[in-house]
Amino acid sequence: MDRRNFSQKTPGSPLLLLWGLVFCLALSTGALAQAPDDFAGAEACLDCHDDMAAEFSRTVHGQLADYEYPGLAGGCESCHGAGAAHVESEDPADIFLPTAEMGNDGTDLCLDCHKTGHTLNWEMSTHAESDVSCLSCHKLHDNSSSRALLNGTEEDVCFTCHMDTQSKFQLPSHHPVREGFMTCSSCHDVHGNQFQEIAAGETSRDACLVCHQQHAGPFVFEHSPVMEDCMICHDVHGTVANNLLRQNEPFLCLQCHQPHFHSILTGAEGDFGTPGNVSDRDPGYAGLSMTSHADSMKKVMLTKCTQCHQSIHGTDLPSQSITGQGRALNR
Amino acid sequence: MRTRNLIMCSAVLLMCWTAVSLADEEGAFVEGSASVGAHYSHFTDNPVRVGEYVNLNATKDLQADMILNLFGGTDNTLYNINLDYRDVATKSFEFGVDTKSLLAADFRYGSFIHNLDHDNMRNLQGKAGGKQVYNTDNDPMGRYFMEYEQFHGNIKVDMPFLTDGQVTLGMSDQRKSGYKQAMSIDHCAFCHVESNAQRVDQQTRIWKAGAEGSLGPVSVNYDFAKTDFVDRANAPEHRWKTAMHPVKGPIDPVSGLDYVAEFGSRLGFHDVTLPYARTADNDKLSHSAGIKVDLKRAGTLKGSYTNTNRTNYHTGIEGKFDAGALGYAVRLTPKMRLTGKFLAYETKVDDAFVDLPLFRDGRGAGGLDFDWNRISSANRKVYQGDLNLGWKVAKGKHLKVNWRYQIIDRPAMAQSQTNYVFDGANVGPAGIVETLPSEAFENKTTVNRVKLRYDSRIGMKGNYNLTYTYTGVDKPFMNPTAMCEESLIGTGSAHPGGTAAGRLYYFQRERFGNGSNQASQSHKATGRASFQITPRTSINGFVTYAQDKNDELNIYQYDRDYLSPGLNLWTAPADQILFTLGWTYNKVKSNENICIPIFDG
Repeated sequence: MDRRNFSQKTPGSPLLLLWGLVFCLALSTGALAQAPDDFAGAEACLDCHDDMAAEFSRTVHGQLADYEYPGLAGGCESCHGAGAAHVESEDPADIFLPTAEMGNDGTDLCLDCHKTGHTLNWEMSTHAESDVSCLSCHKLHDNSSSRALLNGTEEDVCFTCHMDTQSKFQLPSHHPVREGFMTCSSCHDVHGNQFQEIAAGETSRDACLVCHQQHAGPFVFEHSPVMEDCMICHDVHGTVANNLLRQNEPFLCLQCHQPHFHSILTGAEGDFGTPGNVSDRDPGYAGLSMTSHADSMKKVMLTKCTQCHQSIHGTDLPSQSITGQGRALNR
Repeated sequence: MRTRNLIMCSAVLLMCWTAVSLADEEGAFVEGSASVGAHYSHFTDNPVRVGEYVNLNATKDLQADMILNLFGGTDNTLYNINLDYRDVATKSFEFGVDTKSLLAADFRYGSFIHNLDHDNMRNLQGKAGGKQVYNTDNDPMGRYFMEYEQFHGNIKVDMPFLTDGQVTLGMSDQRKSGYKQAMSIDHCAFCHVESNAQRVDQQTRIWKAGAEGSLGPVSVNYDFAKTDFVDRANAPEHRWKTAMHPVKGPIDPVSGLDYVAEFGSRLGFHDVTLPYARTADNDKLSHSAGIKVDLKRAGTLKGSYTNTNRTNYHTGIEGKFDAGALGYAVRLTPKMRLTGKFLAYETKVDDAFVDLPLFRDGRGAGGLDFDWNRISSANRKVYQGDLNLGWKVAKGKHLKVNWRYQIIDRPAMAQSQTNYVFDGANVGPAGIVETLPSEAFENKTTVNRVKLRYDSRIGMKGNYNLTYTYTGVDKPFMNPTAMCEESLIGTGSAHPGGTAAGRLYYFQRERFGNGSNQASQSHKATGRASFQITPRTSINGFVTYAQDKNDELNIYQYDRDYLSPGLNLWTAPADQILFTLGWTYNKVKSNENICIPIFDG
């Protein structure tokens, strides 16, 4: 059987390294390419495999330009190797079947052509480390109309393994993935990212900032966890608490902060339509009225911190108190 | 928007030209599907909780919707057209064309509504002694939402004279427009929280360019991106009222003391109208280069470098990011694969000097200077190493072992806290002997993570995997000395409740408790299984259990348990009919320590 050099990688040695370099350089020039007579041409393949003929010609793989595989055949033989012997004998043993004869479902074969672009980082990716192959997500035959030859929609493919993430998208607060306004690849580089495993961007925070630039800053007054990692406060796939918060306020905030002392004050019973002397002397307070009762100060100070600390993601504008050094994030 | 409209028109024209010009060519084909329907939604109570992404303006009537998917081409060209129209604000459109891989272009446009909360602030009404909290909603019936519009365009051109050579150009334009709730607070006499509708008109535009190619075993790429973010809406403004005594008003009716001067001298500003909730326009420049060397049997070597620079337009503060990464992957045996990765990066954000008025300037025991230099908590040097071993134990059975070691070295872990340490023996203007921002604390975090994963098939119709992850963290991210105040009683000759009682009104005392929701030790186990009952019916389930604790906090041990099992049934009785039934259970239990300071009441 004549096949391309899609060999499985075996333990390296300096000699192998040298050989590999020489071989690859030679291959890139076509010097070691197989003789044209060994190839049968795609039309010969499709004479028998006519069920794949129409579909294959409508895929990117079926329309490759000649320059994309210098020194090699196009069409079916790009992946299955020279097929003249197989056409002659019609014996399956005479044709190269990558998924059966290569490790990892023939992923190394795909990477022979897909060296750059999305797949430049593939070998270092979490998916590659977990033995995920190209064919785990892509279907090359009978799949011409699918985007990127995916084996279903993007969510179908990802949720096959990541079911716990799929379930989080059903929670009340979630990113709009199940609505179809985002996809997993909006945030994840599934083929690997050079820095943060599969999150797009330099850091996981940068992945969030692609859409949430208003929190990018850099600000004068920072909230440290915002600079550290958005996921300290947020579970980005879905939560019960609103705004993708891991917990409801104030409990989330109280994990790192103490509340104001006012939260121990006992409120006053009754309606306070006139807030005392001050409202008479500053028009800013005119017309204010409120209802207070015994637990009012606790409700005020232990309900929702961001009612007062609104600029929780950072701001350039100082807050009012001098002793707070302008860093209360409420402006 | 003008540019985007121009690009959209160009894309539509290109699409029409492509489809029409290809229709008569030899081998032309087109296939696709179209569906037309209608939907109706109705919400009561709080629609945001269940209809966060539903256009609530389109829920009163029956809404027509349409989906169109076309895929066509010739022997040389492929194109796709996808349209999803749900209502006037909820729609998407996509057009892609690929010509012999020589030129590939993809254009996408989509818009949707994100409904936002309207907090009625009903809890913000309280009075206790002189402490009063009020709220005013200037837009009580307001409904807040943002409309997202996104356009993405990418063009890829092959360079036939260069192996695997490609040049890519891309553009992304996202616009968020609508209204959100903006709250402001003044603390001039009372706490007064005021709510207004804030106009949002934000636009993020990203221009990208890249080139890639390979020569023999060496593949290289370079990417450039420029991001511009602008919010064209004016920041809302708030009138900060005149500072005064919360009960006695501006002038003491008995003594005649000027409370405006006294209380005003404690504040950075009062009796003034100023902007708030201002968004910082910014831009970001990014350069990234990578190189991969395919050593065939000796493995794959990968290196990359990235530099980004982000600038806040309003303040001029710059943030820089430099990162380098090296990776090596090799198949040790046909069944064993080893990956080693090293990453180092540094983030450096400009310091910011905060110039504040003197505290109680010109008043007795006043004149304290609270100016400070903000050292960004984004600043850090990070070093990270990963080793991963994958072993195909047998056909359909795979074991993975991963070890990560990470060091995060920061000059300051948290900037939100400053403690004023009192000298009990000399409580007065000089009684504040020291402030302790977090730079004074240990800010280096070390992470050790071990991950084991086993994947296996169950015959030909099922599979399962089990994953266990242990993470040990030395000095996890925390807010150091954030909670629990030291008592001043008995710390010196001067009792703070005596002559120096005034100090207690002004300053927070020294705190000693560290707060965090990050684990110093974490165990996480997940399991997942799928089984195909019939060719058209399958069942799958999963369970995740995590047990986190942080025993490095000095005042309590943080614990968190997480359990989430789930079960899904999928059946397709016919090609066009699919039923899915899912059940998920989520339980999170955590504890936290609440320290409530007691002073001034």
